[in-house]
Amino acid sequence: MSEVGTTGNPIADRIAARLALYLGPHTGRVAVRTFAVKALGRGPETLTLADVPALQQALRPMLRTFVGRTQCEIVLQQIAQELGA
Amino acid sequence: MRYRLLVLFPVVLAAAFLLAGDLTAARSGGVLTAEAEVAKSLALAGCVVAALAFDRRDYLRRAWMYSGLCYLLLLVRDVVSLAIPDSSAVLGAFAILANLASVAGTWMLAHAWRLAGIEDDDRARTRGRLLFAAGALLALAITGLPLVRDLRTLFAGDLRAVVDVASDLGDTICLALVAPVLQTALAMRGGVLRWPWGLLTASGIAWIAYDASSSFVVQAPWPAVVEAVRALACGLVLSAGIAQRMAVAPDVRLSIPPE
Repeated sequence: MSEVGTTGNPIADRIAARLALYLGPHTGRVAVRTFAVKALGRGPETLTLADVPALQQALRPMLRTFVGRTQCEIVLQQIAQELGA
Repeated sequence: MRYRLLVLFPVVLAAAFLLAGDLTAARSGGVLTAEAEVAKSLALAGCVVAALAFDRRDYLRRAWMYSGLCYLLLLVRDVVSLAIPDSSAVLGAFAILANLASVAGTWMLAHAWRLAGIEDDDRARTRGRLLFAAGALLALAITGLPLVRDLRTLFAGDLRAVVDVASDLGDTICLALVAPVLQTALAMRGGVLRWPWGLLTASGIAWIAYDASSSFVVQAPWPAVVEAVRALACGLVLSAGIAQRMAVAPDVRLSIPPE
């Protein structure tokens, strides 16, 4: 059973934590779940490193809306660096 | 700490305006006019600061620009009214354009959450619609009477009332859109974006208070109170703009705190 507020998947949790800096922890997690399902057709608990580029691509429009293109690319780059993807 | 100062600033500004307006009650006309122009200028500055934090093609840059355009047009209108005494048609055109810009900017801000597609399900859509309906009801409770009064004047043949009707409609739509902005602010709780969105929501609520208070009998000390509320609303826009800049400017790098 996963800890409350996490997916139990370290990759998804890491991405959610990065998004949470801007969007807050709840919306960070919801965003990872929504866009994982949209981009990959499965939940965040199944994420692997190979899924990260597709998830980043799916997150891009949302991030551009709220933080702008420049900050969006910074956030996605930070996610890639942290995960070594 | 810096964000908390942004919350404090509009309150201090409003208190200072209230004090100045109240202390100078005998010759308050000039003071209150000056306060109104300073408040609008601060709000314009906030919108510009926020807009420039984004890339030219960014959605929120346009939203902030439209909001700023509203304050700019209102300021230009005020200058024109001083420079050209008999210019009611021109002033009316500026007021209508300012209201259109305000509606466009506020609608774009309110629409951002939906556009981002974070919660793309039926429950979220229903919640958004209910919030908008609640906001619209509240807005109509405040602007409904002036709107009906101005519509009657218009239909009685006084075409000058078209400006007031446009203003009433602009106010109604913008106040109704406070609810979706609040929804975004609540969703962002715990994140750095809660500050600009929260301050924008607070500004919207202050504008509701302004519209409600400006409908009262215009006798001392009400004009000073009304101007203080306007200062609060405009100061909150300035703070929201600075908070937006602090959160998303290209040189900002946020770090995940160690566990």
